[in-house]
Amino acid sequence: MVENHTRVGLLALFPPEADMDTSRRRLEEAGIRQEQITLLSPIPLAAPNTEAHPPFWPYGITIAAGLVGIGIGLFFSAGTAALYPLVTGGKPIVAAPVVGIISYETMMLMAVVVTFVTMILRIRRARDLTVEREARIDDGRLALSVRDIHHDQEATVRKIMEQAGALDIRSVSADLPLLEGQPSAHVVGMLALCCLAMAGCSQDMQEQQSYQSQEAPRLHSPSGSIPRDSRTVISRETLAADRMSDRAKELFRINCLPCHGESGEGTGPVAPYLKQLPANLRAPRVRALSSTEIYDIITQGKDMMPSFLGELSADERMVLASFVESMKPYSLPSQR
Amino acid sequence: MKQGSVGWNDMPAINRDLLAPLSPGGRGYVLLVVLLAAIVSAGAGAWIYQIETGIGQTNLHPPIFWSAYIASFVYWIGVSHSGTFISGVLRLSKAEWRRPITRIAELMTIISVVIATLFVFYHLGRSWRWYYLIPYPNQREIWPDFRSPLMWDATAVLTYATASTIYLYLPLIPDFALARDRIGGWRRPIYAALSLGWQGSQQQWQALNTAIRIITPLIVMVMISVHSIVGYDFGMSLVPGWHTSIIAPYFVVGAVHSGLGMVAIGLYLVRRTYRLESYIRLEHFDKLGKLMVAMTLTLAYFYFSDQLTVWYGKVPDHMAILHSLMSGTFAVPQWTMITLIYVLPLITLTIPAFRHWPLGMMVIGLCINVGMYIERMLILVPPLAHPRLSYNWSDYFPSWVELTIMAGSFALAVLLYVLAVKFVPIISIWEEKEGHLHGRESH
Repeated sequence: MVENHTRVGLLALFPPEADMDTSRRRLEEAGIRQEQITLLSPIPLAAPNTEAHPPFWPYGITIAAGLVGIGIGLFFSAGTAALYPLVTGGKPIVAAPVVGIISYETMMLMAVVVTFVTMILRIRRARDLTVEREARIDDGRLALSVRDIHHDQEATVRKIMEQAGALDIRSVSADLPLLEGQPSAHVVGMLALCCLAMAGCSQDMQEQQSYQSQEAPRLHSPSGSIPRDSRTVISRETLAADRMSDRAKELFRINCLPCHGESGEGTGPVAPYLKQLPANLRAPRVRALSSTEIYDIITQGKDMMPSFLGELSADERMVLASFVESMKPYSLPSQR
Repeated sequence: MKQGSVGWNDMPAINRDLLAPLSPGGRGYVLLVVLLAAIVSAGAGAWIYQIETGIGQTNLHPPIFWSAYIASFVYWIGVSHSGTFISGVLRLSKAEWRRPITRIAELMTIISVVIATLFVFYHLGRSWRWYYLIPYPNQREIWPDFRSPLMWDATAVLTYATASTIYLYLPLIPDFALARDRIGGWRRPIYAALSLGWQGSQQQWQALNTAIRIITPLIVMVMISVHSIVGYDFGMSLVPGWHTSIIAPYFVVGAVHSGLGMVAIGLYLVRRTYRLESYIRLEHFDKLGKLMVAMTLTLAYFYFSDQLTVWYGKVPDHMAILHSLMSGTFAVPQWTMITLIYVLPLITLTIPAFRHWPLGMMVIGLCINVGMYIERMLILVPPLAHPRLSYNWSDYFPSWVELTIMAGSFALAVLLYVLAVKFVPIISIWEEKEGHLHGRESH
């Protein structure tokens, strides 16, 4: 910090016809390093030496990002297909054209976004090389910024600038914090983070057990709530008669059979496609459950099993629970 | 690096002229905003009504499950090709006449992509389930099926929306810096944040130009892929009338066609409203007109090839659709569409004097866009209305909910544009300056 006080930056405004190359050369002869000098202009000036061989590394970054993008596309399209080997439309599980199309899009997305971020970083890093913004260049002027000048060099630099036809020279002490844009950039960054965080959290009341628009007429009150309107308490005795009725069987066939199978042994037609096998309703583990516990599982779902809260009325769930409870225990051949 | 002062002296005038539209609007402007906001509210109300009462409020019914919303989605994605095509392709080919047009067109791109995305949500019915499209490990481990073209579409539109927003933003950075220095008030901190601390040093220019140089070809490739994939949404099915290999290029060219028409409308209105006659000159309308002729011819060629193949093949399922279009239920919209997008543009735009008449160009742009909207409806409805089993044949016209939502969305697009014009310099200032300089040097 002590050293900063002895160093200053100079910012000179020039008419557009000023010969900047000569001034730069003279500044270098006066002991100013090339990286201390920056030229500000309202439009990009063609710099002959850099234009012929543009640096390759920005392109390299884009290419690398594109390759990462291909990886992401591959992961999602081929990965999803491999994880869920369901044949649809007679197409192969991992279909090459599909993987290609998705990877193409993710490749482009990553390439563009990373190129953009690289550019932002470059622009912001370049900002520190200049002493200050010179707003007047936009009216068709050029500005030369020389930063970090030792104060015994200041007079020399000033003289060179004046000789080159500077319209105005101002000095900016180097310990001035170059903060313009910095807090605002932080605000933008924070906003972006907030958006990201908000995208990760559900804002939806659907995650609660509240009534949804377009939901089928509510058949059961949310657990823990007190029934109102015409909800009545279902007595188990009245349902006992229904236990083995055709109605129970019909409900079981529609709602349970696809996974749990005709006999309830967890061998339904859908079972081979599931990651986790459906429960064997005749296993001792299930046998140990009371009809109330079975009712709760049907209502709330368990593991892979979805909730039937919106699908079946409390009445129907009660009938099913009784039906499952009344199933015969699974008898192993040895036990027979 | 010796610079002449010619061209540089124009810069204060360019700053003044092109920053002028950013000043607060007058009574007419406020009135327009209020009017548009009212139509937008009507559309929003209709959407809320549809959410509350269900997707049955639309006239969707078996066998027509896709109609006005999807047609509008296709149309708006098409319009969004204006920006990327004009700006991307012309920037790649270093066409000097692009300079005053690019920003006008790029803004259209962003806004149309937003509107198009909205239509997906209208169509979803249960709009709050939109995130089912995102591949994430959910509770029941049901991931989306990437073999569905609709998933390709979601990926492509996400890429396109992101890339075109970045593409609009890049050349805006120096202009935001200028606005930060010249425009005070509440907008200043926003401009300051958006200008990323731009100073105009050569290192910054190099970083910016490198990024533009890299992203321009990429965005052109993304643009072509996006509307191809929108075409695949139809082409990958076995529905007669959709299942054709030309559908992807046909969609892309159709998109550019409506996009160019929209740019003609935008150019005319911006030029007239803000008195930018010295920037948006007659030569620009002329060049745009020539491009439109090329697109009209290409589109007509694709369309003719496709229909000729159908007609010659004489497959009954396909012929049913062709007959309903040419002389049946859909004949009136069909021939209106052909007049609006092929006949009128070809008759007028081939006359050089007409291309120098901005109002005429605007009217043709309007014709093309109305025609293309009808065309999108005709791609969707007649094939769906004529499934292979003829006792399922049906008919369709949008319900008032659909029409209100479509009108509201259109008003929203215009409203966003009108608001954006007050915030973003509508002509790229630094590129215009650069153009002046190059123009003077080459003369």
